[in-house]
Amino acid sequence: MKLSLSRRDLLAFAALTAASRALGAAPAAGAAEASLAGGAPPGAPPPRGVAPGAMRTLEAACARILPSDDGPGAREANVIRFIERQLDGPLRRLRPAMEQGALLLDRWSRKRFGDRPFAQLDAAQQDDVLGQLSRAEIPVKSFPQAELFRALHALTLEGFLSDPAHGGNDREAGWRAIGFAAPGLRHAHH
Amino acid sequence: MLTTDAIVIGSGAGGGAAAWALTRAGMRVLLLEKGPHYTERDFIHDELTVCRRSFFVPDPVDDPHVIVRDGGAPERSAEGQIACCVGGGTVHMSGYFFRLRPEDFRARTLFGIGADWPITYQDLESHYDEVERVIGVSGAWTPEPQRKAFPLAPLLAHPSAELVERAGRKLGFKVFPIPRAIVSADYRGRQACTYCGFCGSYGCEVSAKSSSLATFVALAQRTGKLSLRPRAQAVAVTADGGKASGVTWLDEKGREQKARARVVVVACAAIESARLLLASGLANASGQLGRNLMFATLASGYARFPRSSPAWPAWAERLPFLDRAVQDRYLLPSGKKGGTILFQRPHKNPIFQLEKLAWNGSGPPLFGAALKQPMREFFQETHTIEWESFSEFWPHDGCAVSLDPAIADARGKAAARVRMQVHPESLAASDELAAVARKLLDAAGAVKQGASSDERTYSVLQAGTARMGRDPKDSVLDAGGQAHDVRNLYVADSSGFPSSGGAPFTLSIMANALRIGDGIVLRAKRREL
Repeated sequence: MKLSLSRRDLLAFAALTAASRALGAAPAAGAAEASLAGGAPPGAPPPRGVAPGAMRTLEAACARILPSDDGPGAREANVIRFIERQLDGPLRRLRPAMEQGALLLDRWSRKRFGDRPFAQLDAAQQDDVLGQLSRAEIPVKSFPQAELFRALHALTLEGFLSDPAHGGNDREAGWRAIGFAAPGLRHAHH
Repeated sequence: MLTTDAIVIGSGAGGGAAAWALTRAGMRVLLLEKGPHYTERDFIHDELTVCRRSFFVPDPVDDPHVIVRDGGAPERSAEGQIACCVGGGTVHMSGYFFRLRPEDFRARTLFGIGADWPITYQDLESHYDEVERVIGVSGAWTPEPQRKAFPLAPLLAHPSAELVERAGRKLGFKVFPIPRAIVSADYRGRQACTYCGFCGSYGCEVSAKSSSLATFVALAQRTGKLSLRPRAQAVAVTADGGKASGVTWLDEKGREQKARARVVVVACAAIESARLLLASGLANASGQLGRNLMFATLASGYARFPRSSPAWPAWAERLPFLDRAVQDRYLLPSGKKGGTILFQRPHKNPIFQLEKLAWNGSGPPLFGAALKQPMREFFQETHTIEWESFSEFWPHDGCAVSLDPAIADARGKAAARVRMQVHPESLAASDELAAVARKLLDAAGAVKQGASSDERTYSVLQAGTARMGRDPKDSVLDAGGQAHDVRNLYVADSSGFPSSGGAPFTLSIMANALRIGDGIVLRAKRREL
């Protein structure tokens, strides 16, 4: 399987990887957590909008990272709207890598499960594919699988529990699920 | 070209304090800060924006550190970056303001490892007093150096602090309130803490946190002697005939600017100060510049308590601080050097907490039902007390800063390459402290305990890359913080620290910067500059 990622795309992942690692490790109250990739890339921005096929795949993946059970999951919190806004805004330069990642999930799903794309697999099959991705076990050359998984994971958690102003955590579904009281001073007041 | 008395580079714990020491004595100071100048209005409670994007720390794509951990592959990272904004890391610090103890200054003599300081605790004592008084530190007492009063009473503690205190009494430990750089009452024109709970990792919207931004920089501005330049990235210190002469920086548009001064004070935090001086080709006659990089050695964990525990009454939900410390193992029973154990309430940030639950082992992060189970346990089914230990990070050859031969920032300046590794003796001491913390929380009635992460290097506290010492052959700075080989070039952050000590050392950076600043003023008065 071959996918195309430029050096620049890989760099965007590197930033996310570094962040996930630092975030997983940062002590409780001591420090600012590390930043994710931010800011606009130099030069002309890529065209707006994530490819719709890729969005369906990413949405299905998020729904397995935080599944809906007797409580809300990524779907109820509209995590995918958050991701779409991030990939069209502050995380713009991560977009090509995420689109290629969705392509990887689909191609591998079709190969393993009778030509069905990732979004059409059943939950157990999706979990199986995501588990493979997280351990970099999908047979693909030079694609940062584990980094893609970490990015998806981080974005799902962010979309579930960040301020609804960013597009996810719809009607505070995520905050209500964990009993988190909405903070004051939520938006820039100038 | 702009000419002034002194240029201070960096406006955090060291640079802010140094700028105030100079301006209050009437010296004109140009203060260069790489990041923006935030005000109270910028400090919102938005975890995503403030804690997880490039609000405080630069984007590792544009401005990376190249981290080489335990001899592994180099990685672009934001790790080891201290907040780039006026006030530096003190803006988002938790503000655990311990003094170092007399034995911290004599590590080589007492423990046969690391290095002695060229100064003693007594040399810093009056500066500690002054920092605590000027910026406002809240506390009750500390065991050693024994202190019975602070400028401000301790912050209100969550009732679960009583569990830690009782367990401490049972085991014979002295549990005391963590001294904090937060004003517990209105103080010198600043408003008292509102207990909003968005403290560490955030800027304080009422300036109750005693950051350099709210204190030293503001005070320096009031003297009328300070010229503050945010978004100014210093790229070279210049020298003339063995004497510092000025600084070259890039302004917010990337244009090169220069200024001349009689004194240059570098305070960009240990990694970036070393990067700047290495790039300038100065202060390295000893070959020691960039070496002896230290962090704080960390261990951390959590203890769960039943949801029904009376120590967590609903009315106390608004009290974010537990804030108790133990220093009875500053010296370990083995005779080796230990450190400080802190007990805290969990940080409020929900994304951060859920991510921590997901990254619970060495494998990839948990997802699906395997993640939702600990999510319910942490947020809804139990209460948590967290602990952290801070102990000596022994300097060694495996931990150092150099200029990266290949990777540069977006402006083409070589990035700092940071080799990171913890000395085995540091790890061993840290493990002993972890065992003490767990024992105490068992005695407090914990029903379950675990490690918060396997991270042992606390890179927000960093020191040592331009060690102070008496001998120019094995140190970069003299006891006054001046480069041995470049007159009037000073380093006033923790780069000069010969050892890291057994407690968080931000207060010591400020105290030492005041000491260095006062020394510069004295030389100016004697017309020695």
